[in-house]
Amino acid sequence: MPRVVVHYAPATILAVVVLVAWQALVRLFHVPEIILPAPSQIAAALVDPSVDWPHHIWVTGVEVVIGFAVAVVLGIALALVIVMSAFLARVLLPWILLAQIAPKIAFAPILFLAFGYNQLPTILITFLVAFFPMVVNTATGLSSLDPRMKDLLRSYQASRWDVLRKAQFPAALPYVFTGLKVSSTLAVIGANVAEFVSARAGLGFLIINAQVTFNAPLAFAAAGYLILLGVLFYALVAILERVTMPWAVPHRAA
Amino acid sequence: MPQGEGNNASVHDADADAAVATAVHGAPDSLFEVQPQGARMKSITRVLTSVLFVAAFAALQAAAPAALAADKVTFKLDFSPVGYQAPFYAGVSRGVYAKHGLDVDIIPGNGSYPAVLDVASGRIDFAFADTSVLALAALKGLRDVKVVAMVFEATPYSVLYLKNKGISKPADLAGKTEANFTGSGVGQLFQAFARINGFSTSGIKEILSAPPTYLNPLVVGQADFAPSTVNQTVNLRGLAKQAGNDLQEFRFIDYGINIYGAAILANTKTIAEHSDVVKRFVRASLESVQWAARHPEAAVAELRKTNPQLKKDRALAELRSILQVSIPRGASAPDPLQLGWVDKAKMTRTVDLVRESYGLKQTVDPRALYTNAYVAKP
Amino acid sequence: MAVVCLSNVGKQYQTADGVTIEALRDIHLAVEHGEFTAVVGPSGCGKSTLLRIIAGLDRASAGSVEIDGALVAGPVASAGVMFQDPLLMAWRTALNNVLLPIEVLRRKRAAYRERARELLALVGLQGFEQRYPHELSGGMQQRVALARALIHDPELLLMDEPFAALDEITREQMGLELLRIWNETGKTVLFVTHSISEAVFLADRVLVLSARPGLLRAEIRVELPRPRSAKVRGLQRYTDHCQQIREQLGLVG
Repeated sequence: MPRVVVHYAPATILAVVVLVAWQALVRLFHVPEIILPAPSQIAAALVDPSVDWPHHIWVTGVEVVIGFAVAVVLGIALALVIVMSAFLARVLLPWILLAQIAPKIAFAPILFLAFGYNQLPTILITFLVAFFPMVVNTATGLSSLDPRMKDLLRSYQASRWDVLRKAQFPAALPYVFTGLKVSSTLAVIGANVAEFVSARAGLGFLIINAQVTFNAPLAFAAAGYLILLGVLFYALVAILERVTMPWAVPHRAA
Repeated sequence: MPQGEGNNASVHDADADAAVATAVHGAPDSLFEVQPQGARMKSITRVLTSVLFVAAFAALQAAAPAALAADKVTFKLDFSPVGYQAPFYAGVSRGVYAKHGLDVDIIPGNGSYPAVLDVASGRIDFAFADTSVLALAALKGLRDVKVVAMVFEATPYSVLYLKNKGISKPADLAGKTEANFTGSGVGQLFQAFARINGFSTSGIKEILSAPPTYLNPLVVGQADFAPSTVNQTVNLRGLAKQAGNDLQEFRFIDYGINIYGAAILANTKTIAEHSDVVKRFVRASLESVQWAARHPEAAVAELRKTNPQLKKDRALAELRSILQVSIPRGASAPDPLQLGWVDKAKMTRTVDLVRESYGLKQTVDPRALYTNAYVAKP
Repeated sequence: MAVVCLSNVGKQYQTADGVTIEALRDIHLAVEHGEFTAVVGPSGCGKSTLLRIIAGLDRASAGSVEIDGALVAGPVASAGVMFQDPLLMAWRTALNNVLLPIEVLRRKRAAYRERARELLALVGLQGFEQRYPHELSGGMQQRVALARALIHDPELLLMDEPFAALDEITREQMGLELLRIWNETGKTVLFVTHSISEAVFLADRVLVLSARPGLLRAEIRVELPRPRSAKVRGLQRYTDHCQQIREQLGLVG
């Protein structure tokens, strides 16, 4: 039996068992549809031609990708700044923390008011939700270098920039990838939260619209596609990690 | 804000009404969506296309006569797309707004209060929001927003209840469990409903949930009643029955509360500076409301063009119930502009009821909340 | 002329509680060209500090350090350093690890590529150029570190307990390897260790350092035949030297 099949078989079997049990229990106990729809109903909604799934997935997908990309770039840049300059770290950290802790749901309406009812505030919120893990993980990674390695490089008259480029950056990579994994999934959540506040299309928009029209299968189906989106991003990051860090094979956990 | 009358032309011209309709709902979805899905172009082709596009745009700008250029307006609704908003969506997709020289961008909403605030701030040109919410905002000091056309002549507010929980008259609600959400307007007005119908709310237990799903406890019987709107009754009756519950309603208008429902709102600045646009918008909107009242099935079909995920029969039932209760003269009025008329006494009643329900001391002159300049007296 | 020359070198530093620790006091030291000098002493006696000062990684509180007649003010390119940990970069192959100093010193990689291969062969790792550190044993990693220390052809090799983390068998093997390489390259070696037997076996001369303050207690010339082999450990003189050192360190019961 091919390795791939053996590798994924247990998880798949478990998923099938769960779905079958779910379907049976919902029917058996006459669970109201709006509380928990049956998998068969959700499946029907997933492929319902009267819902423009590609369009909604695309809309949310764009928000996630752009918000995530900005979070990665800015997150890494900020991490560099706070690692290289203790002074700037003191100045910037409170603001970085604020961006993380401030409840986005509360500030989302203000952002829409300021930037208009389009995708810009949505992308902004996605960015705000996703960027903290990038900063923290990258900063930790950049600081994780064995100080004796610094000594070693210094003994060859390495400059601070040399140490950063040749040692700190590569040493930070495993941490950066952890950050990417967390951020990418948070980006999906962030886009979703923003769409809950205001949207014309997208998976989050569909969830709200389905809820207010009491269409539970549609709400679950939209959530299902969101989950798929998150899994896809995670998988992409994991593949990128494997390709970029061939030396990390024995230490990789996820 | 409307981009000025005539001079600042958009690319849309009268011939492209249908394209406008889909463009309104297609293009603005994505600020960054430049090319059709899946289209891949080599950079040189892209540059050439951009150059051609710019040239065409410039040519159209020069060619389009000022009279044909449409005014861009933003119109925020009170809710996520649902059946009773069909009149407005139909107005866009059938080109009624375009016929009046308006390029309307409908923005789904998430409540009347945010919609009122959006108009007040100038971020949005027009809103469709409940008059009682406007009254609340005005009582709290907001003076920049007015009704320019009434739409729901009678409030659609209603108390949904489960008959099988031993409720047959309003007084039976005392001591029962209520499903509600924080900040609910109708939930607060329920205080007045209780006073008028002679029972106390002090013993009532509350189940609070998030706005989109706050009625779920009622459907499954965890709650006994919920303040809501008439269109939800038709939505939920079948679902409640599935769960073994008999869903009925006490409509506000049947139980002593005869106030206004949702209306078209605009900022006083818009009224002052773009009166012509307001006039055209009101006319197109009320024409669409009448048309929907006369052709509800077709209106729902139009709604489903841009929102195909809505179920046809539910949306139709919702629209019909709203038309019956809140726009009773919709189909019969000889002039659609008559549908938008605001009666001072009724507006005063609306304001007073809000004052009482929220326990406010401040007052506001009801006349400051509306203008009949754009509508006709029935 | 001595390659390394220390005069009156002292090193003090403050701990966090404000206590002054005297790591080294009044060190006089001269290492001749091509000599293999061992520095032995108990833990905390400042021998690593001594090496770091010579390497230019730390500054002496008192006295002067000269390498090739020039005062040491910072790290010098004429020294190659090896620590207890191989400190290889996990993301670089063995070959690229060896070439690291070349990159840092801003010299042309291409020019040293062949030399890097030769050095890896010299330390017995021919064929392992493309392996990552995680694929190599501890001993092999240290060999890569040794090749790295030699790549820029330094006059001086400073080694801070390089074999301390290895098991005894590998240690002895590495010691023999080191001597072979030292023989072939003719470098000047300063070898810090806490193992008396290792110091005697490898060196021409052993400097004994005491602890707190770090004082140079004695300098013992090792009168054992070169090239050293395992048989040397059986010689009486070997035992005598070890005993001498033990006495100096106050270890005689």
